Amino acid sequence: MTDDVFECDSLKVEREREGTALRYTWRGVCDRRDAPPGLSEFILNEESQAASKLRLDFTELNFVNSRMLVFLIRTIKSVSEASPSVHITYTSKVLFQSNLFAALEGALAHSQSLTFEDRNSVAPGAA
Amino acid sequence: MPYAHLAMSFELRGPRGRDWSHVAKLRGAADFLARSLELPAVVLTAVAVAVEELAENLIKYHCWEGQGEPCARLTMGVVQERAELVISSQSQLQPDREHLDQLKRVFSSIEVHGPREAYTRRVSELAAGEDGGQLAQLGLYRIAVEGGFALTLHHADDAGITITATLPLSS
Repeated sequence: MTDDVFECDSLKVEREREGTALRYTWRGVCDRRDAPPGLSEFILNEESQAASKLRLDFTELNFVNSRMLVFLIRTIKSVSEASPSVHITYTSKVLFQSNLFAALEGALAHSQSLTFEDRNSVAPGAA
Repeated sequence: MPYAHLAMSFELRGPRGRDWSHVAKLRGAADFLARSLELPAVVLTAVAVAVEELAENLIKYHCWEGQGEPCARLTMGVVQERAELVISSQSQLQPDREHLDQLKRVFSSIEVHGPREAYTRRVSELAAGEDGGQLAQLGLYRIAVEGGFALTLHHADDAGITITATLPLSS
């Protein structure tokens, strides 16, 4: 069940409570000149810092401009420092996601709280 | 030849030239042209990234407020002889030295490290907060990595800046 929704232009971020964890599901497109006002606070707040786990699902985020890409990089860095466990789900079928999250996985490899999952990857040996 | 000759050219001039909504309109027009040329789906994605980022940079850095001659131009077309898609942004404004130096650093990094490694390094810098107050300039890396375009930068004192993105089209 969706608890809260943040909407700005064609971007929609849904927040769901899953026990003591929080899930943020990102959908749509963001090509604004500046990061959507209030989005940072919607993601980073007392509740998200107190959650046992954050799940950030970007698989339905179809297109972002470079300004938004920088926002995502900084937001993921911030939540990885503030939360004990952050799990990021993306799909390498979407070009910007494939490149961004592969680069971030390397850049933030030292972060023990952060894990990445490519929804499009096929496990070795899978049919 | 496998591709028809079609091209588009847009001029941005102030004060309405700085309207951010032009970016989406230009992306839409470029998509229409790319589909008219019957370019492959993967190229449509590349076009969207290149036009988005070049148009954004033109509006952010290269449009003036006053009336008069066009200050910025975005062109896109196929060079039939070489089967290449070429997207170019031209500014008649002189950039400030700092911005030009940043552009040169981006192009130098892509040349030295290759597009993917250069992009990865820039993402790492931004994630580490080591961007030194510079503009992110991620858009140019994206054109090279996500779009697969080769990029060139031309700068002349009397002609502003031209950034050209070239993508070979397989027949």
